[in-house]
Amino acid sequence: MLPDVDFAILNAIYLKKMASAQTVAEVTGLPADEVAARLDALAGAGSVLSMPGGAMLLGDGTAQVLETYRQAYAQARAQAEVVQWYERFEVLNARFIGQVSEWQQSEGDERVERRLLQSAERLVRELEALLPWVPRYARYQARFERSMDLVDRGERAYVCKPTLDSVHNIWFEFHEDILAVLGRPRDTT
Amino acid sequence: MRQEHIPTAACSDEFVLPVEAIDARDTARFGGKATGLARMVAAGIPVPPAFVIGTDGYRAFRAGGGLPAALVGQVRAAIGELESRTGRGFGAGSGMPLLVSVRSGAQVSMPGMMDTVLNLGVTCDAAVRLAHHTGSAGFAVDTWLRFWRMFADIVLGLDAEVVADAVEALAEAARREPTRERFERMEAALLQAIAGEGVPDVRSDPWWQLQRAIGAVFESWDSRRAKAYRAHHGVSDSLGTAVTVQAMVFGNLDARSGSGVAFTRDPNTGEPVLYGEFLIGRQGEDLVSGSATPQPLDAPEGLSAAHREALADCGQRLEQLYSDAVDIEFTVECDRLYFLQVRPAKRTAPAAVRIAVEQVQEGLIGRAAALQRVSVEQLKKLLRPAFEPQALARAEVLVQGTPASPGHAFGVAVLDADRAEAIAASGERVVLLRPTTSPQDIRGMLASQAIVTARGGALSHAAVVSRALDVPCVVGCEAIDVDLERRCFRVGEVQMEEGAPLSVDGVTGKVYAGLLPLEPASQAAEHIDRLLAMADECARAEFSVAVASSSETRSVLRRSGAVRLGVVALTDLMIAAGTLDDLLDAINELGRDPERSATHDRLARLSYEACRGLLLEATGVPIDLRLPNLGSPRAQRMISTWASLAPRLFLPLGLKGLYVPLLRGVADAAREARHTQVFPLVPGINSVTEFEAFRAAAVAQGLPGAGAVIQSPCGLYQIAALSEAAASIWVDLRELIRTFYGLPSALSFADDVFESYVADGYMQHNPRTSLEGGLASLLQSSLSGLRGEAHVGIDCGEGSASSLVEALYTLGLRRFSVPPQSLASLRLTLGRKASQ
Repeated sequence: MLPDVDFAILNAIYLKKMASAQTVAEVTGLPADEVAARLDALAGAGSVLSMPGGAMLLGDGTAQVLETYRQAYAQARAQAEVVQWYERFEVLNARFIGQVSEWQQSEGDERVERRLLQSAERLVRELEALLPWVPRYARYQARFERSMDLVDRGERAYVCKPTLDSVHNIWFEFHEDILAVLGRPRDTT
Repeated sequence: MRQEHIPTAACSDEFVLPVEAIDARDTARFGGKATGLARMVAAGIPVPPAFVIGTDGYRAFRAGGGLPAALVGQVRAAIGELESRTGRGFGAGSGMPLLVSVRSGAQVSMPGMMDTVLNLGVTCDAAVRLAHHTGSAGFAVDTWLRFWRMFADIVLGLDAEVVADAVEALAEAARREPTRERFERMEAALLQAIAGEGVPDVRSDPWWQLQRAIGAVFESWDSRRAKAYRAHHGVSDSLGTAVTVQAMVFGNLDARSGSGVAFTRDPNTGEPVLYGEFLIGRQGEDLVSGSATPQPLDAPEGLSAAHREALADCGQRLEQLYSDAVDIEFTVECDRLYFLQVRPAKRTAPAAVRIAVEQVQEGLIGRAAALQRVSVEQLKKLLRPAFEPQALARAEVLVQGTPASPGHAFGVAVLDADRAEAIAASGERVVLLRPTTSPQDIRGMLASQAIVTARGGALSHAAVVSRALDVPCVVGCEAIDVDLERRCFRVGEVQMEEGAPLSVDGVTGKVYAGLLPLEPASQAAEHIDRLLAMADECARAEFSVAVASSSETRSVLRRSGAVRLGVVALTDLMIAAGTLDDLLDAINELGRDPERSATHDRLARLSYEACRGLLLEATGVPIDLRLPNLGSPRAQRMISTWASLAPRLFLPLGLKGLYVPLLRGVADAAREARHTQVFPLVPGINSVTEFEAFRAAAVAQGLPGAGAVIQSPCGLYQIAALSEAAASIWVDLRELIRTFYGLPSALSFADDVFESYVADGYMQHNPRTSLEGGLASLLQSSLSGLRGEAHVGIDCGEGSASSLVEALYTLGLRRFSVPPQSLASLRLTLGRKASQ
């Protein structure tokens, strides 16, 4: 099982497939120089491969991430409260994805955008309940708030542009994350 | 206007006023919602009665930490006024109950403010009466539940579903048998569920609910998001928000009631006719939910002729008020028409173009406003290339899936996102074919022309991301069986390998085997042409079209409004003529023996053959024709033997044995086509002396003059001197950016690299989207030395960011060269920029 910092770093790369030290620092909230130093060490240990576009996980790194998920959250997985939380999230998730889709198809209708951001705000609130089991989820709250503020300022690319830390991107990463925490396979629909 | 009736508008304890009595210009005090209603009332539009609590109410709320007693008293009196105007009682009474909506309304609408609470006033007793008067227990229960959902969610901050779920069984029972006792049990359960969620003081008293709703509006002014928004936009925190309270009306009271939506112009086509639908005896929610089938507005058994006329008439007045087409939500209650909500109408891209153009003709709006009404994205959507109909008709469908993102595209099938990225980087068009996609596939999706998945629906990751990227996408092709290990896929009996060509129709969800040719679309062509003519009148820019073949030239000259062709690359013409390999071979030959005259003749013949067709097609049209630039990143990628070429060929003029024969070929073709305005351009020029040599050679061949393409800061530095002798000078934008920043040629086409680099915080500006960081001032100082008549333009190439072209326009540049497919969007971009 990986130490917290290494897990945070490798998990960020796991969810993005490839990420620069700067992106990892932003996602994890860790200082950039610490991330860079750990990435060097992890590259030395054969967990990641440093490439010009960012770091990628090697087989060992992926195995370590998955093993850490399995062990670190065994207790959380057994909590009825967490499982129920996830089931409520599925409802919210379906609503949110529908809203993103509607937003895209209505060419960014303002009313749809408002509802969509309300769903994100709700997730930010609901995440509070998971923090005792998964304290690092506070980072998702911070990322959501930053991106929502940018959308509110008119930077609408932060709704769902895949190349930015957009609300939809964060949401999707969180979804992958919680599925890994619960040890569930990803739904493809 | 009835301003004269306002008792004393400045009087600070006058918190509440009926909307008819407010000054519609005073948005600071009454907010946008109430002043909008006031304007409608003044224009004679029938709206349900309403009152507004001004922003002074907000300030008193802030100062006192709650609603002041005076405000509460005035709200009670104002509700009393609504009661007497509607003949209904709020909370108590015996007839139809008075229900109200509560909305926030600041001067500027901003995120984080409270949403509308509807149906406030529906108590247990009111629900019983509602059931009685509408004859529908289901409606009464739904109205009631809808209120509690909204109140719980918006005012109390709870999860509305939890509350609704808690009373579902009781609600169902009350729907079946609407006795007072069942209603009371439901109310008790509702209050208990909400108390259980952490709001123990919840009450069924509508006055308490109204005060909480008003307080929640005021509090939402100080929500985190609203504060962040104001801080960013410099809006004062002390401005505050107003609250609008409006009586609700019912479309389900009797057979003379109903709800509908009307558009002053057809939102699909833009045709100026009243368009919409009406649902007899039902509420507006039923229209939205699709639980009943509405009729068109002109159906004889639907909306009455008088109301239809009133809608059309008021619609005209509202168009004047909004200076735009509007959509109207309306309700007819017992034969009385009410306008509930009016907004600038949503519309499709073709409708947007037509409405904008026709409103200018009608004198409703000016050209500048019309150009702001059509976005460049909408125009691009209309001009998106489509499969040639004949080819499409012959093509056989390989597999049918769910269309998830519109557009047509073709490419080779690649089954892995990383390989897709690598193959696309080599210049191949790729269709990413995956069982399903996840965030880990983003980079491959970015590089693909189209995306196909075997599983998933219209809301899947692939669908959402494709739409965000505007890439055609088909999902849920269940018949495809992807074998990632063996890099092949199977559709029924057909087995295909990775690399097989596919064509994807994101509109119909069909995937075809093979490559279907694309052609430019021509939807709404006439209105688009008129809109673009307006854009040209505003922008006053001159466009040259960089055609790549003689066959392309004909359609461009017919439709584009361009007055000049350029910067046409001789290399592109050779690619079109299929003689590029010949050229490379001749160049290699030249490297071995620069003096051999047979090689010179061969080069001249290739040049002649390549441009002859173009010159015949475009007689009378000035053409700027660029000679090959062997030092360019493009040449480096295209020529496999690039590294072994004679190094001197990488300099702008290279060898005399190359540029003189190429010029000779151009001159021969011009003579044959009787074309007197062909100007050869020398690329990458850095000094006046090299340009003079080139010009002299062109003139010696009989050409009327010559021009140059500048690709470096050094060339820019010389631009004033160069322009003295040059017929035209083009600044190659992509290359100038690259050389200005000293970027390696490998980064010439990797736009997303810069995006992520900027996102990571290493750079302030993306060089591909902004001139900041020095380039703007370099351009400015270089261009300031030009004489007024100097013919200087920007060669935008393909895919230049519109923000970049706008910045160049702002610097005063007015000549632009673009490929045919980018011309229309550039014309609109600059027209919009000029008319902002």
